[in-house]
Amino acid sequence: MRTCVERSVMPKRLFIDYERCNGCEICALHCSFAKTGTFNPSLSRIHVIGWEEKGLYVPTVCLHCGDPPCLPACPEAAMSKDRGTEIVSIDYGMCTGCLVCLSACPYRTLTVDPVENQVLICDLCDGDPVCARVCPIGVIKYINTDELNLDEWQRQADNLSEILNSTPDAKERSE
Amino acid sequence: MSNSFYGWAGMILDVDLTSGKLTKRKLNRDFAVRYIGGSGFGIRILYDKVGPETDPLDPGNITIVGHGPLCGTAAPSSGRYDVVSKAPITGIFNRTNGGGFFGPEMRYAGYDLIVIRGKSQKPVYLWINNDHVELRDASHLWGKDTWITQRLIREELGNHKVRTLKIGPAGENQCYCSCLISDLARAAGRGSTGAVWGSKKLKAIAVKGTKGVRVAHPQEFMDYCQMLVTRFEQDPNYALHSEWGTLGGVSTPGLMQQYRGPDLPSLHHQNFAPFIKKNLACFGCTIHCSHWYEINEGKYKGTTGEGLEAVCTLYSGAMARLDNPAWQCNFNTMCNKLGIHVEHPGEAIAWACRLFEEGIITEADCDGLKPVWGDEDVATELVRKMAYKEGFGEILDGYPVRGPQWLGRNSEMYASHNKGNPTYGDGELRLGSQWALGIGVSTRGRDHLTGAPWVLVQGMFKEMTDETLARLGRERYDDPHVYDKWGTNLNKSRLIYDFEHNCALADMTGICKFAAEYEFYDKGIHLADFARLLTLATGEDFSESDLVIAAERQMLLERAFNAREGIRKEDDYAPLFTWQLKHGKPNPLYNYDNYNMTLEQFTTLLDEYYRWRGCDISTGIPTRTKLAEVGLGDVADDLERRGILPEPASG
Repeated sequence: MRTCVERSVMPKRLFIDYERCNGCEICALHCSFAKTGTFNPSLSRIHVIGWEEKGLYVPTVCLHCGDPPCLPACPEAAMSKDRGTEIVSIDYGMCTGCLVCLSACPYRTLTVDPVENQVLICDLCDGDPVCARVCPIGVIKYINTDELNLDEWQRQADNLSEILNSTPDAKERSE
Repeated sequence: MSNSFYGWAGMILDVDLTSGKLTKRKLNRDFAVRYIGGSGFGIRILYDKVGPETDPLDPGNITIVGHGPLCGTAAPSSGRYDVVSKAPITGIFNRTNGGGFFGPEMRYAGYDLIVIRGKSQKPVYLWINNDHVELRDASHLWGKDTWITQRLIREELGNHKVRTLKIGPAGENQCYCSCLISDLARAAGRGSTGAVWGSKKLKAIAVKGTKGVRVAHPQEFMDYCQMLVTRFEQDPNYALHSEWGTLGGVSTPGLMQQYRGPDLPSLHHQNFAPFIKKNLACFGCTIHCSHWYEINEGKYKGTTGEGLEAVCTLYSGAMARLDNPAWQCNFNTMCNKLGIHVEHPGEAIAWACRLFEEGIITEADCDGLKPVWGDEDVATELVRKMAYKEGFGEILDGYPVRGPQWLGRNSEMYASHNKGNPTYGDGELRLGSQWALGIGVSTRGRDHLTGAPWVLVQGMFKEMTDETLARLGRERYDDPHVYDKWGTNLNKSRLIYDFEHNCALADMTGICKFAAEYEFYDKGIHLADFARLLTLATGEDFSESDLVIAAERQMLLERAFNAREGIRKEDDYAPLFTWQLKHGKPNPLYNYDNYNMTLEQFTTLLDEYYRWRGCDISTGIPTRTKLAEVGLGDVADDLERRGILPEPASG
């Protein structure tokens, strides 16, 4: 994780303190409203992955990596990274909906509009991300990159994988 | 008129489990505007389809799963769903409401209602993936607890975001204590709907939806929702409720004694802190009043789960004097997995402890167990036995009516209930006259969530000071004494009438009662807000008076349904007074002089409530005049045909 994020020179980015996330999905609800004018979390650019039996909820959104793996993966060269804003975006005129970018993203942050078969990607809402604005408990923050605590980020990531590996689901299933 | 809907999905799914036939039909717009949604749709359909001749566990009983037109939108705390059935435990009307993520997902799949009838030959579950609907074999899920059931369904369907509403072993065994569980810990608890599903061999509904909700005036709607959230955060009760949920209310000095037990300081909410890792929320809810708990040491090490509510702590904790918070956590998870309503076991076990203490039952009656106050291990084993109707567990499951009948030995005297739904002891007569009235007239039986105002019990919440209550009384009723704990101030009857409407509107629209007046009486969602939200969401004009009529319609239909089942005025009293009326003498276990209320005083308030509700004062049955006034003339005709419509003069 550290590699892609560290290489980014974005001035501000979203930081998600997933350990405190309560799973309400207000981020996804409001993102969908901001982007589509309807209430439809499946059209949100941010989505919450839940491991309910472990009390874990992880909001996931494009990191706009410094060296985004999705870019070279796209066979149509429809994805680009703006070197001014550092935002990764998709040219929907060129996108064929092949979804290779989804497989390429190591963080599984991209989603698909199930009706239009289009990949949905966060655009940081012109510098005022709605998810950070509406999160009722401040789990999602839009902060200056130089304030970003990468060690904390790494710690949370390590902790997450430890928790998820700690209880074998297969064993529970046989109860 | 256009067929496209805003707010509502516009589609009903009919499920006939006997034939296996699944039918989609369009929602009728006039029906939608009249009955709004959720429980409003549910009671109308139940009234028309399920009469007194149908036993709750017969294939002819139906279960209606719905939500309101605000569900799944940015309307505050709009993640609720409703399930309406005739209840096995009471034999009368039941609406039960749950949170979590199931309701919005069903809405996003494009359905306002799922109406389930009949009985399957083998266990099945219903899989809804947007337009795709299918009954699937559930033989491999039968016998599994609710957590494992959800896990297996998700694996089978290959989608970890599928939302489920299901029964556990208690529902399969058609227990009276059973409920429905959505997600892991969200219960549609009251009224043993789990047993209805068990009788139909319906294990679960699994749903995935990606269609979303359109509202008629998106930006205005959003602005109004944001304003409401900002406003209710200013409510005197917000800080406590947001952090602790209903659990925050259990520590009022003396409250536990009011539920007929000693005060148990170890059960005060702060003592749960060592186990609580963080707050959790239902879908789209800013209040986040639920909790994730983990126990890392001691006897219950390894217990994890979600919830912790006042009813669990007060009824299943304080009543049976089970004062270990770690046991409470373990019990809560156990009930969620078995699909048991958390309130029922504690009341039943308290009853057994009392009988054992009095020597009315012995170890031999209890399968070798000694039900003594506060014994955790015995309580845990009794809960398990209840879920499987094993030995003495079946009698406890039958509390408060059938269990005592099966046991005999005058044990009925020690049980306590309203319309067949359990409580224990005389607590309902200790929390003030408006609480007693609200509990008494509740249409699903001994229930606070249809209209008994807990947040208005004087002295209960320190944030609701006497000054605040006096101010609210002046604002609402021009009467600073309306919320006084005791007395027969007739405005209290009006208060219960209004409070029932706020609760009904929450259930009809898909909003959590905790965002409305039930918890945030001062700054929560009021009648005018419901009208504005519905208008902006649906594009139909809803005035405040329209919504009063809609809520009256719901309450009158519920009362008419119950009247058909034989419910009368004596059933609308607080439990001990009902006992007195039915036996012609006070219950000898209690000294009625200790209460700040007499039967006559209760009657004064009840009669005034009937006047507001439009019911006959001698029977409690809705009058033709009132039914016709809200457009339910057909219900008056039905009651008349059955010979129970009150004479006009008496109304």
